[in-house]
Amino acid sequence: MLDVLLVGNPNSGKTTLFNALTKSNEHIGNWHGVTVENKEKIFVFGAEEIRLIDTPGIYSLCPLSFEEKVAVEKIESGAYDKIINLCDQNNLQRNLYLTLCLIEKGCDVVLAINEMDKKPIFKVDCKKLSEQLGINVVSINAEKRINLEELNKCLTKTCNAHKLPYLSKLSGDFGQFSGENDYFKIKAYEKDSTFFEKHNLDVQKIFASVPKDSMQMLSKWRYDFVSQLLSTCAKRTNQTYGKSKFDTVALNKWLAFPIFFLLLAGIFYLTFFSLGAFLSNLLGDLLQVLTKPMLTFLEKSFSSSWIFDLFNVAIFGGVGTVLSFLPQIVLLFLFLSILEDSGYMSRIAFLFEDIFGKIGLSGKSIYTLLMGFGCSTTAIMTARNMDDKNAKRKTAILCPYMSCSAKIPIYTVIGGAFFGANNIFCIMGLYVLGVIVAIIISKILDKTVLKSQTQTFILEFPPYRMTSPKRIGKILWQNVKIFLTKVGSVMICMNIIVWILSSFSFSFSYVQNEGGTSMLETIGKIFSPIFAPIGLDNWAIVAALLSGLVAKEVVVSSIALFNGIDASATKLISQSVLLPTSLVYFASKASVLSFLTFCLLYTPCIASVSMLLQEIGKKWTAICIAIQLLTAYIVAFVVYNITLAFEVFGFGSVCVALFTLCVVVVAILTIIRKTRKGKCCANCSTCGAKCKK
Amino acid sequence: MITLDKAKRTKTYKIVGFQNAQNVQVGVLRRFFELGFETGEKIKMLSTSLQRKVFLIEIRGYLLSVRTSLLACVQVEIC
Repeated sequence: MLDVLLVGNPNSGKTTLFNALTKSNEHIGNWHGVTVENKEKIFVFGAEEIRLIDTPGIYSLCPLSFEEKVAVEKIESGAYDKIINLCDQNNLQRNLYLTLCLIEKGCDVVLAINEMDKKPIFKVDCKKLSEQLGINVVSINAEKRINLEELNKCLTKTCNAHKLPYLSKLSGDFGQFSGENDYFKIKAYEKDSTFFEKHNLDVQKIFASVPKDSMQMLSKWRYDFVSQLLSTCAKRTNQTYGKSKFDTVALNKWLAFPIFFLLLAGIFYLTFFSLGAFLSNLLGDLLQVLTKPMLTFLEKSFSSSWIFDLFNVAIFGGVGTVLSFLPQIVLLFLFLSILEDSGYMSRIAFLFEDIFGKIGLSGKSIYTLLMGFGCSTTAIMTARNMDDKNAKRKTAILCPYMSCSAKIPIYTVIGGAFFGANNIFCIMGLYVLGVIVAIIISKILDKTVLKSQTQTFILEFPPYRMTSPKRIGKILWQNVKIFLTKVGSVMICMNIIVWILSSFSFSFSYVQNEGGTSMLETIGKIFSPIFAPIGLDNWAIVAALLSGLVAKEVVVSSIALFNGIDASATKLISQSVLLPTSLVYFASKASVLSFLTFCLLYTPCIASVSMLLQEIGKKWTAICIAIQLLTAYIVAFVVYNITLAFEVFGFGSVCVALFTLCVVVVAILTIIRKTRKGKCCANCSTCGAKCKK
Repeated sequence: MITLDKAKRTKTYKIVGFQNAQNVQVGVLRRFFELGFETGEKIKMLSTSLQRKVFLIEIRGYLLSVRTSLLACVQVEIC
């Protein structure tokens, strides 16, 4: 077995190549830091078994962010036979910098130059480059799978890289390590303290032995050598990589934010109300046609009523309700993927750095948070591309506040039943509320336990790219597969469990026929007093919320199990699909809003919690869950009582009361600010609380 | 001579040196070198964010957005 590492600059197409070689379907995107952990898969080439390990993107062997550390540690470990160094043909100068770092370390490198565009910036003579470096160089196209066989052949060949000429310039008194290889000296020149600390060496002594500007010297030598290489082996056009005329509009200070928010509103409108709703209704009709004859057959086959109920209620009713939302969920993922592929994400990160800096986050957090609208579990992991530990923790903690796709059925079914056509405002309001709560929580965390250190926002702008029809097909298929697997495994299991608990009493008598109180009703009634202040003192709602801890889709299917939803209903989503019996679960519209708010903000699904555990540890996951439960309860309480006040006292009176409250709060804050001003700066009467004098 | 954080939009600058700056760690300076910041190299200022906290620059034929405060360690002169 040949162990091969796939190494390269961020966004050079490593995962695309990994997918092409191993026939996998790993997540890709036009953003720096899509891959945040090592991924491996075995493939066969000829008689050789090759274990290919995809690593996160790096610029050198000195990591700056968490995901870079993962890749560098793997390279430093030496637990591999060969390295495929993938270089983006359009940014060859900087990509070859990493190639030199790998050769300096003594790695057995195969250089693969990825042709990503029809009109590349560099035209390379691979043969000449191979002669100059003494390694195998092959030109490939990872996306179109061109020349991959040639690359595989190179993996079985052995090459000895030429000694890089500038290494003879390394000078300094390295004492007992003078005889060590050049890599040790290079690390001293790079002032990589982590490397020496790992080897228990005196960092200060070693650093004192190299020239003061050693880092600059070494990088200059490397770039000079790369320039020399490219002058003989490549031709360059005058294009700038990543530059586009569209940026004058996309980054315009007046247009940038309206464009972004319009785009987001467009995505949500298409997902929830036009295309998404149409496709959902279509699927609902199809499911009805398919399930009806099956149910008739089951009814005739089983004399026992509970077996028929199990299929009718738990499987066709519960799961069917959620299944009809497949188009909407898949559409949301498709739009997010197109956004991710377009290269616009880096522009958004650039725009949001100002705002996010104020709440202790990095502009890069926008990627994680936007991905959170799709699935919190996968989004949390992307927080690794932060350089600051606290910013990473905060981003991961805030991610579940972005309403994930699993909550779509809750909003559309429950909200649609009570607000009809106005549900569009309810859903938009919930999304905005999630963002507002996340901002407030971030600000609080930044001022208290998770103060941000100076963050290093350095982000490359990739070129704009169109998503190919083939890729759109792949995204759709991948997400359909994930959703159906989830429905076929977790959802069916959970629905059967919830159905058993809601249909049998503790003495295992079937409550539908024999009467009595079901297990779930008993449990729900224990917890329901806790939810009374937020208007949810009904055992069925409490039970649905508890089952939602496993997966959020189960909330709706649980209510369906309690005979709340007509699973065969195929009306427009703006109309009610709730059966009249379920209306008693919610005392008023205030209760519904409170329920939706609680669902938006409370603890995410079990998969997200386990991802949080992996990324931020036990302590912060526990804190995160506590914050989420507390926030959900408080915000739901506020929403419930304000809505109730609107219902009882009328719109005008409540608005006047809220306005008065705002005036009082502003007045109190002004007084506090003025008092602090005096304390802050005794010698200055003109400055504010944040005096810098 | 100014530091790059004081640079103006659409102007092209030449790097003349590097200095120690507050809040700029060794790792960040090393990253600048890795990304191609080098004495004599030309940098074009393309755009800034609303509050000038991030600069979009062109260096060595590609685009890079960098937090302004980090650029205080790069000394430049106008071309």
